[in-house]
Amino acid sequence: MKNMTGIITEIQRFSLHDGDGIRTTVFLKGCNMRCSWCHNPETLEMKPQEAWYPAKCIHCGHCKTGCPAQARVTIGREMTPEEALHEVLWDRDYYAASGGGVTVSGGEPFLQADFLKAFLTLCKENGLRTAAETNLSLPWAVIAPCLPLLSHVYFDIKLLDDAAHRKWTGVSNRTVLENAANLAASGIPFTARTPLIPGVTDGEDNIRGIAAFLASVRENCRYELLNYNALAESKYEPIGLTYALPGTRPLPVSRLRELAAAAASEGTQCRFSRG
Amino acid sequence: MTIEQKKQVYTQRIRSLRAKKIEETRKKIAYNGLTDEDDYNFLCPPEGYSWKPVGDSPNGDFHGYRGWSENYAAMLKSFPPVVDPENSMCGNFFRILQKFRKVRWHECWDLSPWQETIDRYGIDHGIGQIHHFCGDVRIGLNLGWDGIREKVRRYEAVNNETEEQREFYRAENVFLDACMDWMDRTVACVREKLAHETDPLLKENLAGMLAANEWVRHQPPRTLREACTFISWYNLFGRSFNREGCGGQLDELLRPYYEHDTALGLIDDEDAVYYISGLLMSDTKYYQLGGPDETGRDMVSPVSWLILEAADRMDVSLNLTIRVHDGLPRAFFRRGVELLFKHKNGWPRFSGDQSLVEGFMRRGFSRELAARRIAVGCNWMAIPGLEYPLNDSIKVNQARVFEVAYDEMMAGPERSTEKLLSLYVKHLRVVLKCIGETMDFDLNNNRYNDPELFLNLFMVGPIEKGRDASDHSVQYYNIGIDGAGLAVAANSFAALQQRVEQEKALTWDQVYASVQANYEDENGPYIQALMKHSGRFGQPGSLGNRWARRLTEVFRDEVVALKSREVSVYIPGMFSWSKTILFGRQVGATPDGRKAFEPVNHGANPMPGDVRSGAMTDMSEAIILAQCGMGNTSPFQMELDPGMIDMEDGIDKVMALLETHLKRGGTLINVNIVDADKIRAAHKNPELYPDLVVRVTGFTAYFITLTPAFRQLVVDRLMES
Repeated sequence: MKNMTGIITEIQRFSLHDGDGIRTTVFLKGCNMRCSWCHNPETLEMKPQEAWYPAKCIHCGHCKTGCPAQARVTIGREMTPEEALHEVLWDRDYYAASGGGVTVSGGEPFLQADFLKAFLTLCKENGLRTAAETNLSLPWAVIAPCLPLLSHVYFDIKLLDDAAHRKWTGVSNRTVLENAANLAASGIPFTARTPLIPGVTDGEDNIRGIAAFLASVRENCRYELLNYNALAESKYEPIGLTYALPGTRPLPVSRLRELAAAAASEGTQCRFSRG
Repeated sequence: MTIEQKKQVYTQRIRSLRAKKIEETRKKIAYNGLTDEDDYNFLCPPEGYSWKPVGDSPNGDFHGYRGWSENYAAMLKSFPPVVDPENSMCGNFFRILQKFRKVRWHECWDLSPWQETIDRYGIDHGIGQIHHFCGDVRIGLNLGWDGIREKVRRYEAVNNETEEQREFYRAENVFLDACMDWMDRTVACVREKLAHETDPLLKENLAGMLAANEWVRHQPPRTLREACTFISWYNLFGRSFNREGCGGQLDELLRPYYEHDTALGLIDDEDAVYYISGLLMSDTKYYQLGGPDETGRDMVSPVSWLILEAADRMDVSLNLTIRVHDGLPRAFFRRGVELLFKHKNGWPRFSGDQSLVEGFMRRGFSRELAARRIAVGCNWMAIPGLEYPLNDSIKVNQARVFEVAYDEMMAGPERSTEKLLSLYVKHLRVVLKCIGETMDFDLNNNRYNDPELFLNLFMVGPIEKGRDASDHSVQYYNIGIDGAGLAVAANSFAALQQRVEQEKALTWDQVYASVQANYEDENGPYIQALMKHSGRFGQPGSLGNRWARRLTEVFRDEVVALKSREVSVYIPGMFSWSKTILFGRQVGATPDGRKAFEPVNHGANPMPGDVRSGAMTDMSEAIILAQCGMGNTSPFQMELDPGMIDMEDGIDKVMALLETHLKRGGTLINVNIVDADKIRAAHKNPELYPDLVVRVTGFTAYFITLTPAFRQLVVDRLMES
């Protein structure tokens, strides 16, 4: 256990959109899904990887000794839970003042379950409130041991139709839905989310269906619709990937309101973010 | 009128005054050109206006008691009276006498003992500094203008042994005569407008204006309108004389009058808002709201709320500071943050009581006195009526001190960052010695140059002793010295330590040759990139942060150790004011990868781009490292996204951010709410956005009034976040 390490994509301080209050979000590297719209493509691979930003290159010829201009950078670093804790403790005064804390995100954080558990245990020992953002697609046996260490869980249900879910994420949603029911039964506070991807997840039937499912597992549960964020597109090329949905635009606020109203009418507390 | 009808009428008038102010800003730019200063709310002179001062030295500058008093009297006579029937206050001015001066000091003075040092290090030295201390307006509120006049005459009769004393009082009398004549002419104009006004509501306002001014012209104010009228004239006199801009604890200044009026049923809150908006419209003075008094009781009162209400309806450039401490009502703090986001005008800003009080006590003063030291300037605090700090005037360009030290080290055989630090300290001492000597010279001579004829009337000491405030008559001379360019110096030390000493990626000579070539030699871009991407000030746990703390401690200790013949207390702070461009122009390329003559960092902030995550908590941590902890500020220039409050608990998050920074040792936070699209558009076509207000540094200004270089700097800073 002592030498255990995790692969971290980034530790983002002053994170305002990943839970209550001012937070630090620890992005773990590696994901088992391959969503076509992935907002954090640099977290897909588990191993550290290179990114290349040609506009920053000064053509100095010193690539081999480490790019001085940071045109070529390595994404991901290996850290022990103690090292990660050290960094998240920097902002503990801000967590205390704002009701914030630490959020683990990804990628899919439960892919590094041992590291995650060790890190969350340290957070708890240090009095930090914690949350996890997960796709809930890993076996319940992997997820359950961490739950007592979490104050809140954010999870995605992207599509209710399993075939569509497989098509757009590469993974079945069966485990996701089972785990959502388990999570609801566990009593832990949670927020379900659906990223609104135009032409993929933004159909009213999909949103109503997800909302009805959520209402069936926990009455009046928190449900957030996250508008499409076009910024992800620029992240693909530097890591040698091609974005599958170029030119896609966020939904207008009027449409967000309609979808939120539909979800609310199915028995959820639904909110939306403008993106 | 019902209170609702009254609210409608007053709000309409305030809107109209706002529109006129924005139009006036446009006209002022056409007339005066661009500036990098506050908007002082004065007016464009009427067509054909051509007053000029009479000089008494070869370059045409005027000096001393006679030069300033007589020219001020002549200038005021040239001002036509200004009365706007929609305003609750009257009077305005067209020119600032101090702005006619060509040189800050007397051109005949021999500055040769210091000139070489001043030029070598680009020192903003002590000679010829003016105002930057705070009058106690209560002295005037208690005495009234006749009482002030009587006080001058009383002490004139006592202190009449020397010609200098007689000249001092003569000048104060000329000054007061001129001010009272200006008031009289304005009152006559109010009377005339009243006679011709046909609108019954405006007529009623003019009648109230006339009564308040006729009373205040002689007697101490009794009512809120009279108190606002007095302070409004106080503002006009001070600003038009030498650009003096200190306000005070406005809520406490006005509270007794509000309580008097409401107890007698003379006014309601709508009247109060209208009077206060007129006062705020008279000048962009620096006012503090809330905070503990000497007993620890928080000073937020219904008047504090009404001031925010007036500011909300006005939506113009203002300088309001809320003093944050544990006893500050949460609702008031919250309202301040809401208004910051609502108007995006850069006000209010927030000062940290605990750090300021503890710091000032560390410098040897009592807690009670520290509590009276309030926010009255761009980045600074002063004790109204008692302290002469010249804060935000004297500045050390730390980037230039570094450069001189670096050149000296590279000319010798020994090279290390420790050697460089010892040379940095050596040169810092040379700079501070020069500042001490120039301060001594100033305190012995400035009365012959720029006497403080206005503020003398509102300080404890000058009138009683027959000596100018710059001449040993005030109780405390705690001279502030600010460091500027900390990030450039800290990053340079850090880059050399990392790349040359630790990694041995480069040699001392390689770096120096490239710096001398402004990174334009063959290997220049490579060396520049390497130095620029070393551990920077602003990055947690970095060498840059460590050097920033070390240099701050060096600066603090050296300033605290400084003693000169006339001054025993110097207080360190860290603030560039709007001189980032100017200080940058004094410094060639530096080992932090900065190219020659580029601007230095703003205030205590890291260099733009160095907080790579953009996280405000990273930034906060860095700026806390730059605190000198002696009662003066190292302000945090904070840029926030307007979308922050779209979140459910957005306001709470901002409050937590501000509060935590101040609790961890921060002293002052100046906030800009960045409406990125609007600022980008305004940068392309400033004239289309005459109402866009930005916080430039410690002060707010209309974006349109800034010079293009400064607009660019503001845009760069804002866009980064």
